[in-house]
Amino acid sequence: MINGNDFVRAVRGPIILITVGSLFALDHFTPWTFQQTWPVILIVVGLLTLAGRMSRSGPTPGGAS
Amino acid sequence: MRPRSVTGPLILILIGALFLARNLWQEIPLFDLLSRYWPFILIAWGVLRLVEVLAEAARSKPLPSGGLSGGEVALIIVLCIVGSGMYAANRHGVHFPAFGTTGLEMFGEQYDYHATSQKPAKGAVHVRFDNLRVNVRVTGSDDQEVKVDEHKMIRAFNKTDADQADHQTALEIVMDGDKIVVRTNQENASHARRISCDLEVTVPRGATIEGRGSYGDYDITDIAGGVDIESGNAGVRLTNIGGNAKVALQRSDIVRAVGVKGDVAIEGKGADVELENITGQVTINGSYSGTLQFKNLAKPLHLESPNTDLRVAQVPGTITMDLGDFTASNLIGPVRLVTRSKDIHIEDFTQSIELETERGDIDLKPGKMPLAKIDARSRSGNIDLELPESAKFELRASTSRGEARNEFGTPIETATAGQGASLKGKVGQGPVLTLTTDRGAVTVKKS
Repeated sequence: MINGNDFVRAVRGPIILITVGSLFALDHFTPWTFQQTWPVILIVVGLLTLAGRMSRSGPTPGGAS
Repeated sequence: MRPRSVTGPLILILIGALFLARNLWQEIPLFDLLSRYWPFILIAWGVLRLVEVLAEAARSKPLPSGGLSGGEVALIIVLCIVGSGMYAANRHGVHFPAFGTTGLEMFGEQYDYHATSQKPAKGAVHVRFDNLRVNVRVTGSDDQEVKVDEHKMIRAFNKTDADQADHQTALEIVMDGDKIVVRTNQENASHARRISCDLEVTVPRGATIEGRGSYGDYDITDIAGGVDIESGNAGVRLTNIGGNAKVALQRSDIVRAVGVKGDVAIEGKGADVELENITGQVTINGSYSGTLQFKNLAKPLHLESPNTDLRVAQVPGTITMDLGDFTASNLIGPVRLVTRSKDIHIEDFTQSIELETERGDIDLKPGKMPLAKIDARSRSGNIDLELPESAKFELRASTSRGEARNEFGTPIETATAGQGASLKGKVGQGPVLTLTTDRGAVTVKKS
């Protein structure tokens, strides 16, 4: 059984990477600049951290892997 | 131990493929493309790692803890910095040298070939150059023929290869309808990128010249017809042209035209532009990172670049403009200049003038009387206006944050409000002069 917390930790890097890439793409191709949109990264990191905690104490408690 | 990620090798393959593309098809503006589309590399990379993690999770294997290794994070940060740097530079008109083209040219030896070809031609003949990598020098003469001297340089490992390449790329002068086409046939060579050519051409004086190529300079002198050049990368020098000149370049180090009787139209990206003694209209549309100089333009000038929009009715004097400065003297208006960040100095102008800069000082000296309407705005910068003692005008000057100075005395009222100040008043009956800055000093001086 896969630990939910481990799973969130594992996808955190790739998801942040995709977010950063998307923000730069928005910066280059739409009027939204990176200076305006960077807080999205904080929000994504926050959501991922929250998801990690929820899965630790939530329906799929950690321990077995 | 868990299997290592496939991203490393994939990135290696991608970089290799990019350089290979650069070497095989030089006309691809790889760095322009890369500077715009690099964020998608990040996205693709992230998606790849996500898929890897999901696949491992599905097979119930132990998961990597961070998803990304320290080395990858460092590489991503470097990519972000380099990518946004390239993007910013590209937007401001800086272009990257095609360094992919130099590497392999060091190998082998250079072999030189000379060839001459001519074709009888009369009067207003149309001559076209179809070339990949060629420097062309065209001179108008009184001879009734098109004469081409070719100097070809071929890099090869041995003379047999070089001879073969020389045969494949024989110089041709052919007719295409009523056009005379000069072809160097470099696309026929097995190793086109190792061949370069200098053409020394004389044409009848009445000729019209058309140039098509991906790389190489054009130097055209004493032609009564027009000039039309499209190239991927070229320096263009025109002297004494009777017709219109049209130059469209994806990159250039210099576009210089001296003595053109017709209209001049320049577009694309480049560094320096120098125009002198132009009888027709001048239209420039593109981004230029170097210095732009205009001298003695008899008809309207219109320049449009990502950061600047300039219209002047006539330039008997000079305009010099680079990334940070706009200096002009002796202009005939109406003049209109809207720019992002430049210090503006203009002296000796007639007719109305309208200036707008986001960041920069404005310095105006209308030497000639009578005055006309002036409207100058800066978001952040000082505005200085120097007027002759006999000037008649109505002044409306204000700054939201800064001082206001006045040398014209009582007719002008000075008022301060908060951190700002304003000058208002009439000196005789004259046009309205509006000076507005959000942050900076406004000064009206007597000269």
